[in-house]
Amino acid sequence: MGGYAPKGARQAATSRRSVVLEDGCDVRFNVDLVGVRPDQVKGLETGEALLVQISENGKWRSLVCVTNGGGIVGTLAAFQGLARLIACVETGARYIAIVEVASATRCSVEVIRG
Amino acid sequence: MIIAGGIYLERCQYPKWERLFGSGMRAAIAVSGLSEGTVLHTYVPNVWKSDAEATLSSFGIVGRLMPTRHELIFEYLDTLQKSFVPDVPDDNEQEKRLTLDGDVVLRFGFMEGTAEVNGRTVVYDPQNSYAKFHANGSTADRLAMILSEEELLGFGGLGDASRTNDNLAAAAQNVFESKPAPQLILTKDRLGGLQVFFGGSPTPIKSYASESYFRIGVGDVLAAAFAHAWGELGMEPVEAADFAARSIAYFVEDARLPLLPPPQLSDLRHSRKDGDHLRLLGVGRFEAKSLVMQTEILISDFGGSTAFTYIDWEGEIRAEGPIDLLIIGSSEGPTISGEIRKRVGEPKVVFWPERDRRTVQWCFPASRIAGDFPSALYHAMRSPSS
Repeated sequence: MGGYAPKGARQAATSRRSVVLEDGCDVRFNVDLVGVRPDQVKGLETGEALLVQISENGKWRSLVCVTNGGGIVGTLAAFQGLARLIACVETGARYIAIVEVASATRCSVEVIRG
Repeated sequence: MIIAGGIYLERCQYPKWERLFGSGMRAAIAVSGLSEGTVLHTYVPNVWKSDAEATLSSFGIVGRLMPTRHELIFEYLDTLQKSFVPDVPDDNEQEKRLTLDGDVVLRFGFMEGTAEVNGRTVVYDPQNSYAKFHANGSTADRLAMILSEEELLGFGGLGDASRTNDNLAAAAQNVFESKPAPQLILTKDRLGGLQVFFGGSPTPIKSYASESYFRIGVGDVLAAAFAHAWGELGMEPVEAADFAARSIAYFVEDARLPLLPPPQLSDLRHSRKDGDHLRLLGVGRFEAKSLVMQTEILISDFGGSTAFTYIDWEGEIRAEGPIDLLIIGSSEGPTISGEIRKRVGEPKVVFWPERDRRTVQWCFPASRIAGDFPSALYHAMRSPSS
């Protein structure tokens, strides 16, 4: 019956099929940030690099994209592969998020290993 | 807020988009900035469990996750049109029921199971399941149902009736006369308009204008916003529905989450319905003409109508402007824009999917340029109030 994941569904990350190599941390994908902060997205240019880092708030933690000035632009969330990405960051892998679209309502990035 | 709702994978082709949401996850994130201590009760297959947990943690949401065998994936052609809906698992494949209680509870229908909820204030969105709220043992001191117009007709025993105001009111009355009955019903049309039924004549809620229209999950956001305003803030139903309408306008513009508190949504503009007697023009080869004909059907589905639809542009045209929605195919070049404007004036909305927005705006400087098909339809059928 229908209703189950088609073959190949698990490899897809977001809007582009992720590429997973070697240690499983060489991922590259495009995604819209969740919880975009208008004050931080204002002034961002296409092609600008944001830092990808873990933000902790008590027992909660999230993977966020941060400007060079330290402002959080938005959160990487709600996609397949998020948990692995966080695990990679925790073990020392570094990523940047290249801004593809930035507006008052949206910030789309390409996440690549830095 | 206590939420019971699914976590599903959602894929869209135009725009290319794939996310792990589902009604439960989306609603939980939506209210995460409004409601302290949000808890999501849901089923999740093992393959998505760690990603779901990481997402819930990102927004300070407590997850009560029950494992399931079902990986349910919804596919969309665009944000208006589903291209694949998974089958509801058979009765013998249904998961063990979730049970939860709380002061304010938002319950969505599930495909793979059910949630038995007991709450002081409960908002219930059956999600096309037509499952009655109390049928699985759920109870509520105050109950609101969030229904599409089709669902209201179905719940009210008028499933074969057309969506007229009289039929909707009659269906609502039937629901209120069934015992135990909800205290109120909130219905949604397909473009952000709402109506609140208490019994008697419904109260229409004006919609609010948005720059673009991302429709996947808009009903989830509506339910979450209403549950927060009515259940947690203690707003009156009409006031809570107005906040939900504002939240819809906020969300559909680039799928923004989490939602904002009421004071931060106070400066939105109303939108008015422009959906009757729309004038459509398609220019291009088969794909553009086919899309225009599909548009005509969708306008009807959304409660609008067309005055005329022309798809026979060959340098001559019998259509008279102004045109509400112009769709241009990939075979046409920018030079055609001058001829179109000369013959039919400035279209209200232009959708030219194969051209970048800047070029299209240059070709049609007085028109609203839609970057995607749902936004084109939305702007053809709605205008900001001045």
